[in-house]
Amino acid sequence: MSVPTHEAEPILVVRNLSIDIPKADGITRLVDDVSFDVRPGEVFGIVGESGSGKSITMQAVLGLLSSPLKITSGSIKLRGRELTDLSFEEMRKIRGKVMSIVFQDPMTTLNPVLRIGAQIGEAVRLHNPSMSKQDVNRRVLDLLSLVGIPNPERRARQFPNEFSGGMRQRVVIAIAMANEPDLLIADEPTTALDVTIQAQVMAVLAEIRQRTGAAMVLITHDLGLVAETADRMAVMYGGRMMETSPARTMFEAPAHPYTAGLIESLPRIDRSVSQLYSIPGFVPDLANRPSGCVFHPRCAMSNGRAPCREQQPPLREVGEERLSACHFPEEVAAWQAEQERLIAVPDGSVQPPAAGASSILKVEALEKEFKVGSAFFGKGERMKALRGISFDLKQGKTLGLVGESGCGKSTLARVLLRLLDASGGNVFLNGEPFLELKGSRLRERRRDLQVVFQDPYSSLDPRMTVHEVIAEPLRIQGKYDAARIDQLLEHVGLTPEAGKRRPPEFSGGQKQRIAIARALALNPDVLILDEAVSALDVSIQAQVINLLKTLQAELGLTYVFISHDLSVVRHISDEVAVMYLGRIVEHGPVRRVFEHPAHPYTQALLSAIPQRGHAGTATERIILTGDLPNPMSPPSGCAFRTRCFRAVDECARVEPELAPRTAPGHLSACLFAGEHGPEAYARQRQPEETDA
Amino acid sequence: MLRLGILRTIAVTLLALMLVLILVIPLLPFYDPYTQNLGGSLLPMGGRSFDGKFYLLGTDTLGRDMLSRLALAGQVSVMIGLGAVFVSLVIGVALGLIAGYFRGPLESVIMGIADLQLSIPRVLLLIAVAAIIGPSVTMLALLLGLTSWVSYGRVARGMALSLREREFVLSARTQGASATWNIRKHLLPNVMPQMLIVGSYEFGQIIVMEASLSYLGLGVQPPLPSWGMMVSEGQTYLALAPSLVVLPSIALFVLVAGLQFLSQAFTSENEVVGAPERSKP
Repeated sequence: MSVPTHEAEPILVVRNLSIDIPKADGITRLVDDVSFDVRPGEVFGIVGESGSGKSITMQAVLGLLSSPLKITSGSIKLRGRELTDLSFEEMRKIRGKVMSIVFQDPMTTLNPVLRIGAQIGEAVRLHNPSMSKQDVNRRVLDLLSLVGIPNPERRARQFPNEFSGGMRQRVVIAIAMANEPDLLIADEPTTALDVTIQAQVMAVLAEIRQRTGAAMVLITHDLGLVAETADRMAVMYGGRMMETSPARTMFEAPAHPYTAGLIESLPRIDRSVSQLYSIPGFVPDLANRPSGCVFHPRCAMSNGRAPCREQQPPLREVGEERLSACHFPEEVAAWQAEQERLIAVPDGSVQPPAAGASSILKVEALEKEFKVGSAFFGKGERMKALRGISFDLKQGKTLGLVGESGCGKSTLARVLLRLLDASGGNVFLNGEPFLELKGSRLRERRRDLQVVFQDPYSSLDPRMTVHEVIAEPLRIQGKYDAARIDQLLEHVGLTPEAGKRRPPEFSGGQKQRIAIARALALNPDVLILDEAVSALDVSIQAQVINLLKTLQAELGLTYVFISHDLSVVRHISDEVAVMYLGRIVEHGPVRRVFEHPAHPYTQALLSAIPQRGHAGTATERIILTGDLPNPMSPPSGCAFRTRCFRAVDECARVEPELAPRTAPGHLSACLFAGEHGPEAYARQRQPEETDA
Repeated sequence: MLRLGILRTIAVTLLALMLVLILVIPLLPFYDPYTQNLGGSLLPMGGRSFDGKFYLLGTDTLGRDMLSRLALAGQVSVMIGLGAVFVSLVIGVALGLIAGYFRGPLESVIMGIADLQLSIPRVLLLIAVAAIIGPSVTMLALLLGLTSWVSYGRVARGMALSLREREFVLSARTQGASATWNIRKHLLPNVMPQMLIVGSYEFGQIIVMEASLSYLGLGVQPPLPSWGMMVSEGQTYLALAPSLVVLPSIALFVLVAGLQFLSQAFTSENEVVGAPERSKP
């Protein structure tokens, strides 16, 4: 992290920027009077939930606003040059040369039919039309090595589909850096990536910036990532700037109630809390922006005070380098301290699992194999998606399942739900062998095991009313009861009137509540939550997590909580299982696993999570090299050895059993189970980069 | 927005014109489409026969009123088109949804039949069947319907393939829903808008097909008129009375163009259906 030079002239100056969109019923202001500076060499983070206007603001800076969006007032100055009145042609000369962008999804940013080298070369040639072919090629190879892609000569001739997600994002970064811009705009650059890959990509970005001295604007919803990466950060809400301050102090002393609310809504990776604060209500509809302070209807500190309702607070200085758009910024600290006190868990209050609790979901040596390849042509290979999965879940408890994409956690959910057939092993639901049930007996018992999926958009049939959506399970089982549906809606915090409307009219969080109501309709014993809160904004995520906890306490539900987000898993689970390439590599009580992780993979996962106060430099954290191996031909012995910093030759020969190695009840599958902090990692030689 | 509006306006205008022709004209006190007036054959548009009768669009070789015959022929065409579309839509949607939902061997068999179907020349098949059973309006509608289900089937299968993986279908399965339930409650309502688009497009195709068959004498049989047959009858007198060929051709063009524009307008309006309604800020 380079030290920003305060005295230097800002590289980007945005003043009083407003962006409007004309709608049938009038003009909606999407970005309202936003001002900020980006200084040379610094990382400026912009945080906000969906609809906050953060992406549109930066699109305006790049001159990429698509009609009908329009800048109605304000100025954008890059290196002192006004951008808002530049022609398209003049703007084209600036884009990619003085500033460039890294988009969120590396899958769609690259053209699938062009070779990687050609795509990077294109970016080079656009601003250097006279450059010779050899020079362009040399520059492409330089750029590929700059972003840490091994074998650049070979890789440059490949197509995007031969690259993994993390590698593609490196290519996108290489394209953005092709002309060494002064300003790099990264719009959610790692949101589509797994956490260990995210750590790799952020490290690449940091290294490149160090080498070229470029400033970066990091747009993200991830407070942890900003806190760790940025020098200064801004918080946007409802199209307005709420707060700007140095990133390091934002977590300790936020200057705006919204920031404080967001911070208190975040589950913690480093400690347990009894419950999360949740900002009440929903993100405002920008067509009817609340009067006065845009946040006041959801604000915990406003209490309906007149200034909050009537006057829009200006962004004003409240301390060194700190601006806040709140009438009462001095009250924030006290509120946050009060919240911290409310959610703290007294030490020792966590009860050990009651010995007599009955086993409700018991899984024994579950296997799943996929046949890959055509049935008619070719051999048809087999892919082991699940290998020897066993666990025993007690009534009223939550098992957290974590792992990166491709580890088999969603396959496990589908096998448990019998949406996929298992290839071996047993599942006992309430002591009954669930996998052996057939026909009507199966259809009847299925009600005991229900599911809530990740995507609230595709989990509700858009053509049904909400009432019909929740009624469906009851109708399937022939037990329709209108009163029960109203009761379910109230359970999940919606009114019975909501039943008359259709799913597209609801926000993401509300849809997820509806999906939960539907899953609860048949009084299930076990609820499988497959990334159920991952698609939601932070403040809405906290609401749904609190709802799930309340429902569990009231109804005695048992959860299997699948997530890639370890902080959420820590908050909601009683025990946690970590999966890697279809196997459970570590399983134990949640505090034990998070505070004393035994498997190097778990240690790497925990270390890769950006978090407050971490401000980790590369030496303090474990950054795994390489990508997930091809599951079609997993490595011999321990599947993790190709990325492991502890691996020795023996790991290639022996596959370690999942067994208690460090403490009773804490299972791990590693020959060297035990604590390997970042120090241990630092001592190890870095394994050679493997490209997938 | 504007383009779509224009498209729909054109479609509605053309189809309204047709509705007037085939529904309103027969109600008005014009001449009977079957009555011959040999004294006034091949009259031009707006011509008067020797017995002083006025013919707005003239008469054909047998002195029958062109306007009434065009209207009746339109009714016949539309009946055949609707019948065939109905038959093919029912078959195509049913087979497509079954293939897409169940996958496996059933899908291979159904899509195999579809491929076979496409490889048999439709006109030859129709000639053979018409030669064996003899042509009739019902048979024509049935045959055209039976041979044009493939477009519905293909689209329905494609949509079923993605819908069956949608989470609302998966969640219904975990609640114990049978395949019939899922197909009826979730797949069918979600594919219907697209099926109607395909239907409005196929409707036009079928009417053109019917006209071609009637032109060849394999379709509608006299004295019942059909636009295709009217063209066929009139071509001998093309130099003498071009309106005998031109008028039914225009009628055909107006109806089919109206239907195609309508289907285009439906398509643009329905583009968002099925796509996730997610919006990035």
